[in-house]
Amino acid sequence: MRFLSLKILTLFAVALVAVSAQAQDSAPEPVEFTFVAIKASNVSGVTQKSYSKSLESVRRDIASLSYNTFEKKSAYSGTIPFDSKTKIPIDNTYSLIVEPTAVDQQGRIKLSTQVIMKKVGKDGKMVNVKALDTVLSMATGKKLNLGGLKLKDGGDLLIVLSVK
Amino acid sequence: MNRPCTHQNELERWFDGEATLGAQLESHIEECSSCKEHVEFLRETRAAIEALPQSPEIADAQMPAFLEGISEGIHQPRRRFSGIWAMASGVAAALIAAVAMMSMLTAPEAPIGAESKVETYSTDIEGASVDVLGCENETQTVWLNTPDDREI
Repeated sequence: MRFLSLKILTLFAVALVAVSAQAQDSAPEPVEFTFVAIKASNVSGVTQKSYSKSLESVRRDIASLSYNTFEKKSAYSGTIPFDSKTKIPIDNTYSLIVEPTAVDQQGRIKLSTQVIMKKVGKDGKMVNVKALDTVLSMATGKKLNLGGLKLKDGGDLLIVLSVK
Repeated sequence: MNRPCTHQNELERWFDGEATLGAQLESHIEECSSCKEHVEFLRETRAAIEALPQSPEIADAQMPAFLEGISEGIHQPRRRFSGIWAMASGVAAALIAAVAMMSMLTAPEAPIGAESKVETYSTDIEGASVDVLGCENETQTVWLNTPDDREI
């Protein structure tokens, strides 16, 4: 009986090690990625910072920026796969390309992020330019912003990024 | 203590009921302090032995059932509960080990306190530069500085 128990335990341990090794070799789980795109501007006569109602969740993350008016432009929430570029349009001018590439020792997701801007080239044709090209280490629930991107109708584009 | 008397063996046989107390021995006991002490000692010893807890006696009528019980205990195989419990304990220990190992091997969650941070930044816009804004405890912002007010 003791030998049988020992055999079962040994088999279980071997199976466990095999499953663990397979889990380590397999690609990480897709990342839950969220962004909120905001039009930030300084409106004359506005003395207190004003935020559109749908910006409550990111208000704390943008409060320190030197604008008095924040309006939501668009938002995205979805899963993005590892080692694969995902392109998400923001408006007619800007789009975001994101690619999770690794998980660091603290569990943060390394996120390659590019803001692509459409603009008229010197030859009069539309061209895509990397307005921002960054690598971010994103901790769950801890946001990062991209900003300073000029909008055609005035104000600047802010993008608040987060992952889960 | 007095020297042992030569009558003591005879005395002990009488005390154990193996011999009768003759008149000669009876009168000797009256006179011999050693034999008196010895008789007293034998009485005390017997009283002490009788005061000890008695183990239950098995009556003759109960003896066959008693022997049958012993026989069953010897010849019947042990019940296997101990083996089952041993296996259950082993499986429980293996499950605990499995949970511990899985938690060690799975991708780590960002620990509480780990902050998001900007690793690298650049721009392809001619004449523009990039900075990182934000103090400690503030959400950092990768900031594009364009050379003129309206780049686009």
